[in-house]
Amino acid sequence: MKKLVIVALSLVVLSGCPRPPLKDIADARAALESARRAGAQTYAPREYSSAEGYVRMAQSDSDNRQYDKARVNALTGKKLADIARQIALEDKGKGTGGNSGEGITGTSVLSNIGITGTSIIGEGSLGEGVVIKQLKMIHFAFADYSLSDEAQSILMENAQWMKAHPDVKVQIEGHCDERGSQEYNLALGEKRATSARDYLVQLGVRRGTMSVISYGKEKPLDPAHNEKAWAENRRDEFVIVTR
Amino acid sequence: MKKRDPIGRLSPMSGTNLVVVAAVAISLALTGRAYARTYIDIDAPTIKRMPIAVTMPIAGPGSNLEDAMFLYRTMTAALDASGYFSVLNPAMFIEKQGGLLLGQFNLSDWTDIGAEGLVKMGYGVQGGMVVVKLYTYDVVQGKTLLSKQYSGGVSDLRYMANSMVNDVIYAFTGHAGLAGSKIAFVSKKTGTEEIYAMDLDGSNMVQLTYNKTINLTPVWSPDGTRLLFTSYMQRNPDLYMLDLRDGRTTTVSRRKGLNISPSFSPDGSEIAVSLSFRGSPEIYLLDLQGRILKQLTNTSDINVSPSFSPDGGKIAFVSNRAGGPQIYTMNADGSDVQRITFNGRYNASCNWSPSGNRIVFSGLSDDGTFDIYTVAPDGSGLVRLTQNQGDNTSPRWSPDGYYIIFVSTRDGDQQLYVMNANGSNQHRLVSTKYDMSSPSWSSRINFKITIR
Repeated sequence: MKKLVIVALSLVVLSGCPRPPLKDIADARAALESARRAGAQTYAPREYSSAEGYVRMAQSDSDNRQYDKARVNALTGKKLADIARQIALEDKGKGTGGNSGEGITGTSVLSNIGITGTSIIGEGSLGEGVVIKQLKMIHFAFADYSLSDEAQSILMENAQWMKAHPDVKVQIEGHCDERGSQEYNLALGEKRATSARDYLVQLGVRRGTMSVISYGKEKPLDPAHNEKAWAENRRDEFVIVTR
Repeated sequence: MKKRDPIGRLSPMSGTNLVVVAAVAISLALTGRAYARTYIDIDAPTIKRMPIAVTMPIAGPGSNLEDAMFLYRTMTAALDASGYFSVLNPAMFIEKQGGLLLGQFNLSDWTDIGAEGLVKMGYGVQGGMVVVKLYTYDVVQGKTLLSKQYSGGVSDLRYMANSMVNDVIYAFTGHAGLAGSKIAFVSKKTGTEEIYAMDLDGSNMVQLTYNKTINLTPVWSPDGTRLLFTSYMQRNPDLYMLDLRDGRTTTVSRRKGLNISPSFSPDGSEIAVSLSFRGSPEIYLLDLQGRILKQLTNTSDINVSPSFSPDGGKIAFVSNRAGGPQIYTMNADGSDVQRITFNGRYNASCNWSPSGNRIVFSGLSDDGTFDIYTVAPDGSGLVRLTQNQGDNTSPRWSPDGYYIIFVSTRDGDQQLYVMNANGSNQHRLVSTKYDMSSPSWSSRINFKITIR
């Protein structure tokens, strides 16, 4: 009987709750703030917004209890913010404009496929693609996959960028809010992604440059259980893929 | 790492394949038949729990206390969880030293404390074999309902206990119990959605997938040997089958787009599934190797969640062909499509009962929450089973059709709950600190699950 207790206790210790990387996220936020004060938004806008993106991801990972991922994103965000601050301080002194950040994963991915002048926001859902500022996400009504007027005008902007970069492969990811059937939501997510794809084809984007995937309700942007989070989570994301 | 099996011995778990335990040999002796009278009518709309007393097993030669305690705990926990019995607190017992057989104890010792049923066990080890004698009495009438002997190796004690529980439930209700069946489910315990299986009391939990992507909707084969599930392990929602006897996973369908919401035919030889490689998600019939036998729906809408009627002749499914998601039935060849839900704008996750006469589903109620409902296959007799208790989704029948397992947010996170088919006796299955979703309930499993 005593053995059993010891085994049970050691299991508790081994599987003990990992903690959210609060300090790492706070450090990253502080670095971001001092980069902002150094003028990084003006002198190193790409680095600054990437750093912002990583910090945001770190927070959302932490909210989703993905603590390891959150920590890595927080550290990356801090590093980028430090770089942005340094560039800003140097260039402010020289009175020159922005600089391109080397050594950022997303940038090298994009430069490999011949894209420059792009703001990277972060990695795609499963880290298989890159989210960039130029391709905006669109949102949907509950249990619906029709395109609102707003979604259509965003898709027009996205289409312009995609037509200007015909070699870039874009994956359209359909997502749902947490309510309702898991299975129905997988289908709904795919319908949302194909709605956008079909509209982009109408706008002149080559069908072959796009792929669709549904994540159903499995990848919420905001893990909260309220109307605001649900509205944010009912979306299509447009992710650049290199595979 | 070592893991304890429920009877207190250490057994190696990780890394190597688990040894498949040979089917348990349980020998029948004495009389093994229950009385024809049904003490508890589990089809009745409301069930009064029968007060039942269970005594600690009387120790025979070679017995040890831990095993006796295990038998006692398994029996009392399962009788209580069944929802049909109220297990009396041993502190109330008058009897100090009664025997096992009728005449060797005073019936009034039990009727005086309000017991109507009594379970007595004797336990011993003979020639390396565990022998358990089980007696079940109607103490009001002074009748023996069950008198049966079980024997097997020491490592078989868990399976023996499950048989005993099922036999006691059968003696009072006339239907076989579910001890020994398992629940498969999905949890983000490790950070990503992986599939697990556990016993009905939450013990013997095993992680079945380890691919660190997204794994969804496990579904048992009718014989409990295999699980169908959808996984993003190859970067797309594809359909896989895991054989729990050898731990092998095979690919069933990796077609472009969705390969989701699988369901076995009642004989286990075919799979109904939703595939979108031709455009919209449609229901197809596949063989176990994933070859298409027939396309069953053909729309430009959503068609998911097929579930066979127990005779295999019909399939219930979810479609939005009339706007929002609603439940439909069709013949198993795709003909004669009938809509069966008309209340509310969102009804999904249908599952056809093993008895054939009800279909359970989750629908959006007027108050904005999801609740569990059942309806007859012709669309009549809609019954709401949950109310004002968070969102209630993913309902699945127990293999005997007497219970429904489902996901509810009534205590915060998504957790698994069980209720009787009429909605009574709703209780949380197991207390955990992590979320649980997408349950599926197996038939009785009498082999050891192998993980690779």
